[in-house]
Amino acid sequence: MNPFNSFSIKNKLIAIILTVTFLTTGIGFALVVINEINHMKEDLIEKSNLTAKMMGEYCVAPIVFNDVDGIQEILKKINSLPNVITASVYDVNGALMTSYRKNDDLKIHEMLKQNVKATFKGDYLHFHRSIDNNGENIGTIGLFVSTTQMEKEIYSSIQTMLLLLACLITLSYFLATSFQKIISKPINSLRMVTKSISSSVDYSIRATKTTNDEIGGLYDDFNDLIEQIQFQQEAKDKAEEKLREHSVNLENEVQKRTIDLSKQMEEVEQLNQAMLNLMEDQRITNETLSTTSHQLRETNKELEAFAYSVSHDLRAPLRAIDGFAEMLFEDYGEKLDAEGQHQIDVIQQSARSMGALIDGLLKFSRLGRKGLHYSRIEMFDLVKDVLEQIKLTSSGIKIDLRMTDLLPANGDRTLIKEVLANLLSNAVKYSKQDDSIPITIGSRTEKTENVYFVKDNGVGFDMKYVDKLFKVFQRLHKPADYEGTGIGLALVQRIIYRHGGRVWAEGIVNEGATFYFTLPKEKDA
Amino acid sequence: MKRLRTTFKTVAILLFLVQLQTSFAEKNEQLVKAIFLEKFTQFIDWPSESTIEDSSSPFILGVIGKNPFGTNLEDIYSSQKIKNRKVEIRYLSNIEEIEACHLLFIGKAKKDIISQIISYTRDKSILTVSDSKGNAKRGVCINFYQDGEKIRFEINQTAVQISGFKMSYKLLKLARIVKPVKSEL
Repeated sequence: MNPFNSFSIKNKLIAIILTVTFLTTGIGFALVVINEINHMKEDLIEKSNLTAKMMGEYCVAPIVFNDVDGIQEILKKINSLPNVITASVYDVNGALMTSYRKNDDLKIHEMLKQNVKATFKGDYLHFHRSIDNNGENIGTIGLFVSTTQMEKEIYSSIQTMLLLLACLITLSYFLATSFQKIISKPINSLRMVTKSISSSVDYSIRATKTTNDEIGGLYDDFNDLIEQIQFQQEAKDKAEEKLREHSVNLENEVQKRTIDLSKQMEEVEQLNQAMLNLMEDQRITNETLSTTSHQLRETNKELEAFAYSVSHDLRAPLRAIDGFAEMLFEDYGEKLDAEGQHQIDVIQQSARSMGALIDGLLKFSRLGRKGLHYSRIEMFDLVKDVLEQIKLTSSGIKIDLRMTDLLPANGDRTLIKEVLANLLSNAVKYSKQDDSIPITIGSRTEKTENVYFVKDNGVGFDMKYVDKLFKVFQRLHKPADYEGTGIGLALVQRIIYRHGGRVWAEGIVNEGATFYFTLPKEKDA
Repeated sequence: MKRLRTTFKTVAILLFLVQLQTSFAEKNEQLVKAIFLEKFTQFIDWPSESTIEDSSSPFILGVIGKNPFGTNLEDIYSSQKIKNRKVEIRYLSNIEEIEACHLLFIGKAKKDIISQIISYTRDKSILTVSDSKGNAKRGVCINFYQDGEKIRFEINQTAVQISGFKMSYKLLKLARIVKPVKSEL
């Protein structure tokens, strides 16, 4: 970078002024000195010319009369001229006639060529002038003039000029130092204003204009600029304030949310813990359950085996009781009065009833062990078969069967028949013995299973006791009113469960009951 | 033209001989004096009313008294012009003949004759030259004299002025002045 650029404006101005002053004055002085040197030279030539002319005039007569001594006498007159060192006179042909030297060391110079009048050579001026007499050239006078004096004068003149130049430069330095303030002061004060604005960040500060020149214009421009900046700064400050508020709000919000979130996290954690505990509990429960279930299964098996053997063993004495009661009635019935005969009849009936109970228990207990034999069942046909059997066992009953097309089912035909037989016989049993019994049988299909129902208009039941319906030996009605073993619905439930279905019932007292069961669709055999 | 060239040659030879025989002063002396006559005229202006103004007329060089030059004058001035005019050399015997002369060389003669001549030429614009000691004092304008080996001349400034001549200071500087004119200033 130009080192001049790092100067302050003050120094730049001073430097410029000094440079201009130095250059102009220096050039001026140099021209003056050159001019003076030229003048001095011309002056010296002129003086030499006069000397030569005068001496030449004096020499005319001696030359004409060929008086060398006379010439010599005249040439000696240069003794009164300090600058003239030698003087010589040549004849018309240019041959030296005589010469006079102040200093013998000096050589006599040869005559200059024609038309060269004067020449500066070394410390001397060689000067020649023709000597005329009445317009006729009769010879030449030559002078050897020392220029030392002139040089001294030139040096002294240069010294004076340099001294003057130094004085002027000094003067102009002081003037420049005081005048530069006119320009640098407003700039510096503008700079101070700029500094104070930038350090205090106070854009309300304004520069006070003092001049009407370009710098004054700069002040105006600067003030305009600062005003714009101030305006923008204020807008920016407002925006920042808003932003800060927003950010504070946002922070609060975030903090709140974070707290909420951590709370939620804690809750989730707690929930997780709870769930883990729960799972642990469940695992334990499951373990217990599986143990229990295993034990239960074992107990069940034992129970079934027990029930089977009991039932089986109970049948033999029952048959004996029934058979002997029969034989007693046949052999000795005539000997007995009506009361005795009736008592035998009661014995027989009770024995048969107990046999039916034992059959039911056998079926029920067998169900736990038997495998299922799946096949496609046309429910419509199956219902018809069951109704035929019911009509056979209970004579004089009219059934008003309302049956839509039943969906075919997939299951163990024997067991499903047992289900239908139980439900239908129940419907008949608990209906009022009017002229015909209305029974509705229907089905509908759902996602994974088919739903079947059997509806009657019988005595119905109180929904309070719906839980008891499907339990063994649980009866909602007195055995005196309705005969039955109390095993039927429990059997139904057991069969349907084994098929993977569900059983439930809806009922209203004295208005009827509806029994539902479901069977899974397309269950592989 | 041939004659002119021959004359030049003769002059040149003569000058050469003169220069060679400087020791033979006597002959040489007369030649130098003859030459000097013309040189004097270079520094002297004749009064305007004199006949010298007529450039077509010759410059009349008169010799009165004993002629010391021999044929020197003829040798020199047959070709050399004086005041840019042809030179007519007259050897005079009567004082009356002097009047036409522009320059009069006064040879050796009796003192009374010389006085006569001087008084005759005194107020006339006739430049008088002689080579006898004391003549200048007597009133001859220019008078040769011997200074060692050198031929010098003395000038009677008063006589020159009376005759109406304007004589250059250059010539006066070289000469020994007799009866100088006192400066009025």
